[in-house]
Amino acid sequence: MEKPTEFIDAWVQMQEEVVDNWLAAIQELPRALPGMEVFKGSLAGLPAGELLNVSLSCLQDLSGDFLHMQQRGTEVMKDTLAKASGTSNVFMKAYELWHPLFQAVQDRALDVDTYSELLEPSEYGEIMDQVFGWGPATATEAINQTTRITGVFCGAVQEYRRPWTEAAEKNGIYLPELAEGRPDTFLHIFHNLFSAFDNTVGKVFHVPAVGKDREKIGLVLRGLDDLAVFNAKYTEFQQRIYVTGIKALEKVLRAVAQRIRSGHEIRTFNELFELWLDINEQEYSHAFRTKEFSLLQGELLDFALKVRRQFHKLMELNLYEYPVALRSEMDDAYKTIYELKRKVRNLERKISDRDVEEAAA
Amino acid sequence: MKKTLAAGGARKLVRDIGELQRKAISGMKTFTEIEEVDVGTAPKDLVYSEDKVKLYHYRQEREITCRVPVLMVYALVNRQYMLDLQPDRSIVRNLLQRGMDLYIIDWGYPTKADMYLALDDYLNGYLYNCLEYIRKSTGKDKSSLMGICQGGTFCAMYAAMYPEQVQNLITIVAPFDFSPNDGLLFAWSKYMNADDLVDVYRVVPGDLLNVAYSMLMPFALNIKKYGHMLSIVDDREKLLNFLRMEKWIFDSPGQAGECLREFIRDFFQGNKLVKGEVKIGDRVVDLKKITMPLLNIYASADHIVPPSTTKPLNDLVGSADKSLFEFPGGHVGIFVSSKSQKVLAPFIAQWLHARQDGRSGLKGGVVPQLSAGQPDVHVQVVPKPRPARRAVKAKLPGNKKIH
Repeated sequence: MEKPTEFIDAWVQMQEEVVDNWLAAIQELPRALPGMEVFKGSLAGLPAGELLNVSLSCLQDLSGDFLHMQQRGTEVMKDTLAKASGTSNVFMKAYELWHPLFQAVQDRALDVDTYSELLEPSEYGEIMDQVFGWGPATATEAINQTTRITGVFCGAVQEYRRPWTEAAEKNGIYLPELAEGRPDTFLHIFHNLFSAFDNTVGKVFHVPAVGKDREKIGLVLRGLDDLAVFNAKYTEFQQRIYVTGIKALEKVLRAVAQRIRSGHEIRTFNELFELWLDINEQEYSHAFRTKEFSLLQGELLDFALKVRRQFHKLMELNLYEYPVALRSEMDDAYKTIYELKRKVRNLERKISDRDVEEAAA
Repeated sequence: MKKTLAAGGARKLVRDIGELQRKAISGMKTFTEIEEVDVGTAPKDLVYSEDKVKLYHYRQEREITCRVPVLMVYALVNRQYMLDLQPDRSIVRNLLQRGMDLYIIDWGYPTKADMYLALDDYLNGYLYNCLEYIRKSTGKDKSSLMGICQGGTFCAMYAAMYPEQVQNLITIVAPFDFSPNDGLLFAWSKYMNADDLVDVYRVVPGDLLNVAYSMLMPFALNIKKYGHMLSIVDDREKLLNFLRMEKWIFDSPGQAGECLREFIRDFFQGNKLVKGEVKIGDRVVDLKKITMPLLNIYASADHIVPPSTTKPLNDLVGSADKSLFEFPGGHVGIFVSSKSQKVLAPFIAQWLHARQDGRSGLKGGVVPQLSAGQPDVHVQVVPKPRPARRAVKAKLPGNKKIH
């Protein structure tokens, strides 16, 4: 090779020969594969038939490109290479088309039965549909699915929005009370917002977990739930304490005013302190004595115990794999020891009674 | 004219605060000098123990003049050394000085291993065995029972189940009728889920119960008391006595679950004792079977066990010799006040001496004689009414009455 152009000419010529041979091989393929003519004819009008036409068209495009390249000569090498690059899609199409067949050859699965399956037009059509299938039916189904998904999404948005809207409406009613500075209003507002949260975002936390730690996660979530309920009840309890304190303070102020009016002014800090203590004691004692307070306290204890119970269960699950005695196991051991002790005590007493009877006899 | 706090008393206020600070600094010195808060110092010997329960016998350095031994039974919820909190204010020492032969039960501190202990175990088990020990060691078939608070309820139930073992029964600030709601504990307990409480805790912590106790008088017990402490903080002896009481208040054993469950459910909520429906083990508790002399003592200003819960016992028992003693004070003051040392302990000793031979104090001619000058003490000795005779009313010295 004396000149670079000679090399390119030779390279292009070689490529021409490769393509010519390839085209010739493809043209000979129907004769090489038994039944290919039948296959070609029977695919007419089917998606797979279309596919065959496309493939032949690709090959013609490809050979045309090379012919065109040959005509233009070596001096337009750059353009030729660019075109080669531009026709890569054609190669890709060809590759995708023949890949299943080549794969079968490679897997040495191209026996008589496989031929039969491949050459069965309906099945081949099915395969082709699966590989390239994007017919009207599929498109229709896709549109249907998309419509359905959109509907579900819109419904979900509605479901998400509704609890918050309702909470906002409910809380709107409390605005006048909030403006008055009533502390229990905060509790109601918190409760409404928490309900909205629990019915929307919070639902994620209620989704049952799967797998080994399902029970643990369930307990954690239930525990959080119980803790939230306890906190709400505790806020109610604290509110009762606070309101009672406010009432007591009002009474203290009235008592001080009364003493000033009657000429018995408070002269020392201790005197004021004692007055404040006594009135508060009376006021709280009165509040604690009501049935409502007893009920509230009972409920508060119930919720606190519920949180504690969940925590204990969780601890048991987490410690199960460690070499420590679990609470439930110790309970069983204590029960056994307790029952044995009772048995011993009863037996000792029977022996003692018998001794007394024998001595008396 | 004195200045009011509002009008120009600022100088006085500043002076008060300065004085307070001086006391606080002085108190810090006193605090650091107190190394040990000793309680229950009357000499005693451990004579019997079973599980965590211990039976102590107080050393009697004088002659025993009351021949019937006395077993003192305290509540499960607090420690028995309340009866011997400080040497100069000790019911125990006071009774020892008056010739009594004293035993006391220490229920101990239950742990989770004791979670299944029920009333049956405490009464038919531990209490029975302690009395059995006293019977064997003294050779006396009967003992006198002196029960305090819940221990008084225990003693009454025991006396009803084993009347043949009990010579005399003394109950001090003990609840029997749980229906009144004038005590906050009684009101609150009715809405308490005992099953959940016990199932979760197994042994319910004493601290939890202490929270409830401190809420009975929140300002007196949590603020006023410590304000008072500041006024005595520079006096070592007074401060020591204050700390002894503090130690007792917060020395609260946990409660064995099953026992507490029964006590809340059957007593506080079911009020079964007065209905005759309480069953301990296989024995039904019938208070009418209490036929021995009874001295029922209550405190007029008791905020924990109000008189309305205590007094009904005298109408429920079958005793012919039954006395109701009102002490002017509170649930704790009845043991540690100077008045209780002057009045209560001497009266108990007299009452027991009068009944040591198994005879009624009235029939035996020994009527409790209290010295004059104790105007707040009311004693009612109520003999069993006889249809043929009218009740005789008489006055004891002071305001003490016998009906």
